[in-house]
Amino acid sequence: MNANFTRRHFLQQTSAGFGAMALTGMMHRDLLGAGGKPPAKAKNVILCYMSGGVSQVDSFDPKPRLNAEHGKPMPMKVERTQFNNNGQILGSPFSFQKYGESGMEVSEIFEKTAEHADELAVIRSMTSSVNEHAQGNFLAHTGFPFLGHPTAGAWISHGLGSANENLPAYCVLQSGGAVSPHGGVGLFSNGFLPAQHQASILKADSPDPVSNIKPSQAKSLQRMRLDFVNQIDQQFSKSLGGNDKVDAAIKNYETAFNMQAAVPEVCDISGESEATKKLYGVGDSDSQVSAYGTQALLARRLVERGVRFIELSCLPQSKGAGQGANPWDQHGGLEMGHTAMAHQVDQPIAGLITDLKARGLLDQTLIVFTGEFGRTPFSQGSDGRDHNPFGFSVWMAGGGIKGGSVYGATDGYGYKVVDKPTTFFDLWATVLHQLGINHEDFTYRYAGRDVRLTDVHGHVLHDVLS
Amino acid sequence: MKKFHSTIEQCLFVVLTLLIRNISSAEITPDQIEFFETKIRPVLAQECYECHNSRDKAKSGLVLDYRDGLLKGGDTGLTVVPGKPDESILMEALRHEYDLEMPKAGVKLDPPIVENFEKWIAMGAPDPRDKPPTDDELAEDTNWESILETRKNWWSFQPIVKPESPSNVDAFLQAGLEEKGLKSAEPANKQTVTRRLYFTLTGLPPTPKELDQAKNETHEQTVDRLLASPHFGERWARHWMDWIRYAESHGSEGDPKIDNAFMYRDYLIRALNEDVKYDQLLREHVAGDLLEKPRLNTDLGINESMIATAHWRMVFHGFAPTDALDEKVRFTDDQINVFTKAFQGLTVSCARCHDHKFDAISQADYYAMFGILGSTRPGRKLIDLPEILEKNKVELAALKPKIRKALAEDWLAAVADAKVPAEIAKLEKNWEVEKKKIELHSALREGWETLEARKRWDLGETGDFHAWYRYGNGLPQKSAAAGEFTIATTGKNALDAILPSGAYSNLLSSKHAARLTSPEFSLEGKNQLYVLARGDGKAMVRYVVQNYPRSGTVFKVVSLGSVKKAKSNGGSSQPWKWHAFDLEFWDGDDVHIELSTARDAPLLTKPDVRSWFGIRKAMLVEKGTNIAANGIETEHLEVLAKAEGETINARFKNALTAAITRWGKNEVTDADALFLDFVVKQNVLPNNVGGLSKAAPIIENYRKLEEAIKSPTRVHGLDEWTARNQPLYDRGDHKKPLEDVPRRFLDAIDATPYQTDKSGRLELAADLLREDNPFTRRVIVNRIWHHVFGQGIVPTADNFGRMGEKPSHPELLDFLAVKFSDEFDWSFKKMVKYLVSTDAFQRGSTPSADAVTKDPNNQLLSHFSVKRLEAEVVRDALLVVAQKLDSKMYDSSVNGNAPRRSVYVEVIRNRLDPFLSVYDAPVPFSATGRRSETNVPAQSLTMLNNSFVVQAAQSFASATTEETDAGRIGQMWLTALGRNPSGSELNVASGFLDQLRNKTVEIATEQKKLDAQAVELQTRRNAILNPVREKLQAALAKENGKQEKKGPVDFGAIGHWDFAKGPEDQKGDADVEFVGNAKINGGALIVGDGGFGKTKPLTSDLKAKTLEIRIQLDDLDQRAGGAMTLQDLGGGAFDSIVYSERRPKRWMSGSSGFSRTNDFNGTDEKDVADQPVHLVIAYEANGTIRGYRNGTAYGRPYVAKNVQDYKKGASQILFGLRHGTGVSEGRALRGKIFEARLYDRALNESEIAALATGKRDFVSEKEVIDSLTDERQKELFDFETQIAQIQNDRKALGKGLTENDVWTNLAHSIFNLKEFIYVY
Repeated sequence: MNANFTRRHFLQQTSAGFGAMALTGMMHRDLLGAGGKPPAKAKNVILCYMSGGVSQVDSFDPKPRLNAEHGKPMPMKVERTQFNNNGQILGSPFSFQKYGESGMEVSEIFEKTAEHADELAVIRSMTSSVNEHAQGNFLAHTGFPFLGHPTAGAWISHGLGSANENLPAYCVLQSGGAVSPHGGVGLFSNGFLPAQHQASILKADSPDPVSNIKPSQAKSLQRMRLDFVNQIDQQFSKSLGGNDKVDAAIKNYETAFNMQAAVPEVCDISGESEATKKLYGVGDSDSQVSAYGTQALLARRLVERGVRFIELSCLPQSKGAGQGANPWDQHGGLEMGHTAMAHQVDQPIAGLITDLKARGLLDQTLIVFTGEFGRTPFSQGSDGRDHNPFGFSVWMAGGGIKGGSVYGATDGYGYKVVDKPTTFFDLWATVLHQLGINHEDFTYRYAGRDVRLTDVHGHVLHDVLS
Repeated sequence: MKKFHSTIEQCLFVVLTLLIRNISSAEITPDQIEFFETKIRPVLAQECYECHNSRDKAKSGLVLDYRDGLLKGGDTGLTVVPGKPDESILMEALRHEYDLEMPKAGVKLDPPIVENFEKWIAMGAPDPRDKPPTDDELAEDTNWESILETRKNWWSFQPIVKPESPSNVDAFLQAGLEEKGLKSAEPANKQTVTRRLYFTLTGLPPTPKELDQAKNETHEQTVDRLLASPHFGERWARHWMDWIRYAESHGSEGDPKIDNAFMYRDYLIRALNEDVKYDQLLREHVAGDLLEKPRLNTDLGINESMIATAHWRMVFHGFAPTDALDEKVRFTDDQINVFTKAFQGLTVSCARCHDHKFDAISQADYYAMFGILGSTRPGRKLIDLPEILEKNKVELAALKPKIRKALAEDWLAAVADAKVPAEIAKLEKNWEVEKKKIELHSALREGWETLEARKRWDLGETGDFHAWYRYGNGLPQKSAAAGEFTIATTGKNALDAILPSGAYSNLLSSKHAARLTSPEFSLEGKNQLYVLARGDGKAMVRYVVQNYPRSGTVFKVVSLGSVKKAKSNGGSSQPWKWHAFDLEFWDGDDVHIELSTARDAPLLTKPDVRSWFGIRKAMLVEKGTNIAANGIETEHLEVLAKAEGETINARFKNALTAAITRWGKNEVTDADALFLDFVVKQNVLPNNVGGLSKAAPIIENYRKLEEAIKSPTRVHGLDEWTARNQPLYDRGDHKKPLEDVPRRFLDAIDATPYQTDKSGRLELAADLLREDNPFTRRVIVNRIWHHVFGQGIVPTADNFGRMGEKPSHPELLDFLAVKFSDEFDWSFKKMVKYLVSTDAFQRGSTPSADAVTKDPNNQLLSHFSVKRLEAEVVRDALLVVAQKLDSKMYDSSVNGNAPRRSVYVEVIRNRLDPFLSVYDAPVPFSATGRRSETNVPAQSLTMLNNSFVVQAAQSFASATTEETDAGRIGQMWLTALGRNPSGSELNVASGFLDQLRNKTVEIATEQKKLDAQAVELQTRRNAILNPVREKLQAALAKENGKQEKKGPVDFGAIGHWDFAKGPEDQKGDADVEFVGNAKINGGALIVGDGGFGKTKPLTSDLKAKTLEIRIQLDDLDQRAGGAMTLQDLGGGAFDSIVYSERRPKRWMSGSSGFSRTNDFNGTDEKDVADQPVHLVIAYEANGTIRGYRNGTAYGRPYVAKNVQDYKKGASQILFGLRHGTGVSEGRALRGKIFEARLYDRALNESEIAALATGKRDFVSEKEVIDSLTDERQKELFDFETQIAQIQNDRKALGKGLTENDVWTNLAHSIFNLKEFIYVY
């Protein structure tokens, strides 16, 4: 074992705070790679995860043909669906309009987000290889359809570290009863990366936003205790002739102590102006809008404080099979369910874009909007849609993205991709690229392999970059 | 001139270069050729050609498969400069000197190989490859055989060699230390070594008593005592669980439990405590269910070997995959991956899509192993001893003919008096027609029996019966003939059923286990499956696609009966039925049929002890083939149709006599059996045990014997079935099968195909344990070493391949491997004892200065490596020190809050225990031989604030009892850290206690100060608000005063109930009547506990309306009750203020069938149990529905699709009931209603705000603040911020500390010491 490995290994295993990786030069050779690294356009990522699967033909991929042929059979072979209860072509109950200079067509249910059409790059040719929620969620988050691999957030935390000593690099926000999508907290896992890269789940509306963050005793008492503990610890470390691991653990208590103040501070949005809150929908009479808006506002605050990767969580909805874990999952009652879900996130996301832009943060913040798959253009039962992994829409904004662009296409029915098929590997390759990381050189040695977020796949989607 | 000169130089250079090249090719000596061919070409071919060839890939423009390409170089310059190794980029790349590291993504080639390249370039890079290779040549150079031969040179593939000397571990280590010029550390003191021993052997800290005990023992005595402790097994079982990624659920959506997974954990603990030899455990892990001589545990009555195979089932399963083969490939890959890493230290699953990139493992090796596992399938193993499983079976079987004979006699005697069952009697009227119908049904049935079926099985036929797979102890050796019967095990009835021919799980007892599956068949086109089966509600029939064990949308499972239907059938299940399954979806897949009792499906189980199924036939037909009119509904009457007789009575009696007679002689047909079964169930023949003089005593005896049968214990495992070789998948794509690969072991060891008609698991186990297997023993001794010393001799414990790290002491590893098998006879405990008895284990943990620089990772073990305790040990230590540990062993897993050892904490994939996770307990995903040891603030936060730790500290403090401060500090130190405090530690700790005691006084003073500040600020805040409010109120009062004089707020309610005044309607005639316990008490209508209020019919029509109520609830957790409801008199249509129905703790507008209900998405209710809350729902005529709580909007209004009209005289108001006329589950509210009003219009917002406050001139705080100037608003905001800060500060100060708190604080502090979680 050479000394270089030792040092790197030590750095990977030991941290004296969330920011330590960045400070100790995590941008090591692995990242630079032989191919050189792309210039960093963005510093942070906000993932708006639409758990359950948004219907592309009702949101960002208009298909007038569906309405024209409503009620007729699909004119092509229909693949296996998960519920095997396929009906006829189902027209979209929503109208589409052109927005912005780009004239991008967006559904009425996203009318507020659509006002930012010229900031969005909509990828209409996203695909997934699985059509079940848990596997789809794992695939969307990690590139692999099962538990055990690090998520994109964990990889990015590993690659960039946090720019803030007292906050984790990777946060998942929840509020208003939002729960983890199917697959559980494994969707926010560090996988085989060191544990500091797992997401901290931040309950945006809870007095105890991160588990164990609420001090178990008064601050002054705790300070006293830490001083006492530190004295004894120093003697212990000395008796071992100085031990890196023990010293790092000693330091971690100080970091933890500071985090107890830093986390509640960042979560406390009471100091934000009424106008800002309103922009995000915070305080809206619809508590779901308000709760999601709180997450979005908190995301901006985290971005300001150097947190790298933030995932927002949709709130539960019991409509058409959509539940806590997968609120967008309208196997029935699509119109009612998608209306309600879009309403929940539309104002907050639009507000987030406006606010980031106003503060000059949009350029350095990459917003990614995606679910695990799309929905079928034909009905399930009478008024629902089944899962469709063969072609669906996601979008990116900010962070060096070419706004107002539409990339790829599905067929006339919005069923399968016919132009520029795209995978989550491509999506994450692009995100890494914008963060200044060459995805092909960004590896971690695990179980005898140099593993990548993009496995052996992934192409940067240069067409959507400015 | 100069120009000319330089041109000449150029020419010269070209000529010279050509010359050199020509020389080098022309003058290669035979020695050089040999050097190139043996030392260089194979490496180039195997390591470089893949990316740098002249055929299909030349990365960076570089081609290395012939001389000119190599000399030309790539985009970055000259790869090889002949004669000058140090100027050749190739050497830089091979030496990993700069960023360019080759081979790509590989490890550095072995130093001798790199040296060969150096030599070769130095000799001028002689290279006989003068042309690009042909395809054949390229294939030849890169063919697997030659690669295999080279790769087998890797150290771990080499045979284990017993070193001649030295003769013990310390001598090996000493040699390593001397080589580096390092000295070993002094021995550690006894207390330290004792603590180390406790953690290593038992995973628990020593108690003060145990430390005392150890003081008086030799090292060996302590070691022996700890090895004999039951905690040894608990500690080391957890290590083993890491190796095989132990889990208790399958993950994915639904995360289904792995039933009885804990039995495997318990098996490991027992086995390790009993020191069952490793080779035996390995055999059991691979094929414990197939061993000729399994290991039987007579104390527990179980077959231990059988349990071991459960690890094969701890795979991840997806949810309802539409590509079931993909799922099968994936979970089989999971098995191969974990198994080969855990027991061979090899990454065989890397060879799924192509030959292994680095190791001597081919893609065929992978599919050879896939074939072995693919010849098994998910199953359930019965682990009871054979005598338990077979108990009383022979005796019961012997009784049955006797019962049959006796019953037949009893029944024949009763025929004369038998009444004709009504269903038969009614046939008399139209007998000829009825008879024709029965005959038609018979013909139909015969028709479908000759129907063109794609598959057809009759389980009553011996051949078909034996073609199916039978598991469990309930299915007999041969099919049941018609007339078989089952005895009712309790109750008045003697017989449960008389059966047609088929396969049955319960012929002797319904406690027996059974799973019956058809052979696998491939589906082509549109198919429909029919299964003629019966069973109880817990038994099921399903089709299984590609062995996927879960149910799901496209994996239909049919429960064979339901209680309701069973009752109407007079028995315990549905009648015989053709269960239909549409298989069109699965066109192209392999499926089989499975019937199972409650606890015997591979995954979908229910806890019921008794369960049974029976099956007669199954057929696969083209979808659309109509077999609905199949005639089974009158099959039981066919006997009747054939019987002689003038009247139905006569025909019935004749038929009955004949059928009973045939039954007695065991000669019945299916129709006879069904007829008799029908007749018996109609109570026409005596079936009452008391009424059967001959049969009764035998049946009593039968019942007693059956009673003694134990329901088998089931554990997940593998079932053998059709053994078949697996086709290799082209590039791992399961849609592209290529040639079959025979089932066999790794080519690098022995590629002889297994000669067996079973899966080959026995052979696989034997191959693991063959003398020349170089992996098995090295891997396990390295694992044991890792857990004793904190780092393996091979640090990458799961990977002995080229991407792993090399052994620090290769000879020592082999020495231990040989010792383990030859001297210790594969004994775990002996090996552990041997290692902890070394000097190396007992050394001090402080490194010398030399050691820090020369051996920073302490691979040479100059001292004992300090290590962080594993997650489980940290948690267990907390429990031990807190004296809260529940030392119960074994049994079902517990939640992490339970005070049992961590090895018993459940491992649920989708919600892993957060405490254990934060300390690096592995995600159950792959073999984990070496856990990460991270060091993150989340760990500190856990130790500071987690309630489990806080409680442990409280308990630790109260468990220490010494009276003096010094004595108690000493006691705590010894308990938690295994040693006495030093003098200075004692001082510091005493000082800390005093500090804490002083703090109480400080806190009280500080609090007083803060309170005073808060009052001051509040006063200043009010000084801003009050004058403005008064002004606004005055203005409003003036405005209102114009319209009417002072009086209560009234917006024209048509009904008003003020329960302080009584039940009368103050406005109209709709007085309230009490129903049930409803009553007025203390000014409120009390509802709940069966009581509610209802009014007399209303006298107005209502469309737009407003419901208003002031109410307090008994508790917040109640669900779905209505506070105030407007309904039609029956309650069929209603609109209601409903609490907590769709979402807990939320108010909503309830309506008939949710037809006008949508979520307001208001806030969760927090107050209504403590104080009255004012609620209003306003319904506009256009469908808009608005909710208000305490005068402000509740959530978001919405528009309902319809509006209900309520007619006068036909509608009423309810209080405390959602709708209807009587109390039923889930509609009633528990609480107090103070006042309510009903309006015939939708009130507006300000009216509602006024109602909530009761004041017409009410001015809300919001209005007051809104009317302030921005400046004043900011001032106010600052005050509020300051007040909030003070409140926070006050809270943060906490309360004063009691003496108990002070000690708890010290206890908690000790948990925060690094020494608590580090063993040194």
